[in-house]
Amino acid sequence: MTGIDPRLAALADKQEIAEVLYRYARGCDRADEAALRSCFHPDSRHDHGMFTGKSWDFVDRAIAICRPLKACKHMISNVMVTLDGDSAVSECHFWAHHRRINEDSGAEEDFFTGGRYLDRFERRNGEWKIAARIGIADFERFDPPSDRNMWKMPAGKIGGKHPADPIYGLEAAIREGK
Amino acid sequence: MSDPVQALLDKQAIAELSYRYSRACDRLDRDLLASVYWPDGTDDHGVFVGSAPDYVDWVINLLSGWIAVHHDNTNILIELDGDTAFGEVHWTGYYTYAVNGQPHDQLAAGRYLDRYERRDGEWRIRHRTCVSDWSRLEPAVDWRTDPARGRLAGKRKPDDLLYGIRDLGIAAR
Repeated sequence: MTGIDPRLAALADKQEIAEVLYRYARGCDRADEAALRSCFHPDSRHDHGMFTGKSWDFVDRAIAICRPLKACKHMISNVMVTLDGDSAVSECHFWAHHRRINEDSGAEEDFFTGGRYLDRFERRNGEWKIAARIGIADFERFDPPSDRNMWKMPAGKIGGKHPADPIYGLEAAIREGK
Repeated sequence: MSDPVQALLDKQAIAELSYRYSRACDRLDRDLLASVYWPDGTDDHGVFVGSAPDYVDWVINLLSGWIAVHHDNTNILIELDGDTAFGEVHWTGYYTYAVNGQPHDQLAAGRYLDRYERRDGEWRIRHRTCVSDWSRLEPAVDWRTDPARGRLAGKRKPDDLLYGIRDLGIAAR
């Protein structure tokens, strides 16, 4: 990074960290295990919901939860990063929707939750990844589905899982220079 | 040609004002909230119109009576003009509070319309107008009272786990 304006280097670090947080959201929404795993260092610790343990074990659980969902969306905002060399702490907000099956009634329901991820990031071999995460819940509610026409839309116009979702075709096309 | 790196830094600093504003409201942090406004700043929240210090007292008092508060900020559009800047910032609020003794969830969204000023190199809010775009109010279940859930539920300063973030994961190594 020699020769780069240190102000620009700090902005780049914040951007790289924010994109890890966005990749986490995509990993959940698309049930993309490789994307999700790539957000965490192998020794990262995790404390979120009813899970306490290694982040890579949490990834297995998150994929098992998200893959069967009819719909799933995580939004990340309010990314506040404090940089300290090759280490950083970050608070970001999340808002999530899961269209799931109620275990008791067997009926579909919408689960809405908002909260925050408190993360320690570490840069190793030039790459920022999460080294420890706590997930905090600020808001949640369950409601019966109330959509009208969404599921009548054609395939490809409704969010899908990895690798069927359109983003993977677009990314492949860019990589192949099309 | 102005310095594009400085413009990015200015926009980042201004965006972080709104993030600190939301953190201050959500964690009930009066000092942090006061620090995002200039002391001669002003605020128009419709039901409150007045000076920034008076707004801080008013909103902290209001929110301290609520069960939980969470604000997301997105779509931050900033127009720089020297030591002045103008911003539109979307907000989505998730509030839980009692109505007639029963917990309710209010979901609301709107925008902050801001005027910022840079003084001695520091950006702060000179004026904020809060516009509301939509709102819903529905009966809620307060899951935070479940002991199994309470440990990782959002809390106010200094009880929220945010205030231990610098030690996060260190003890586990």
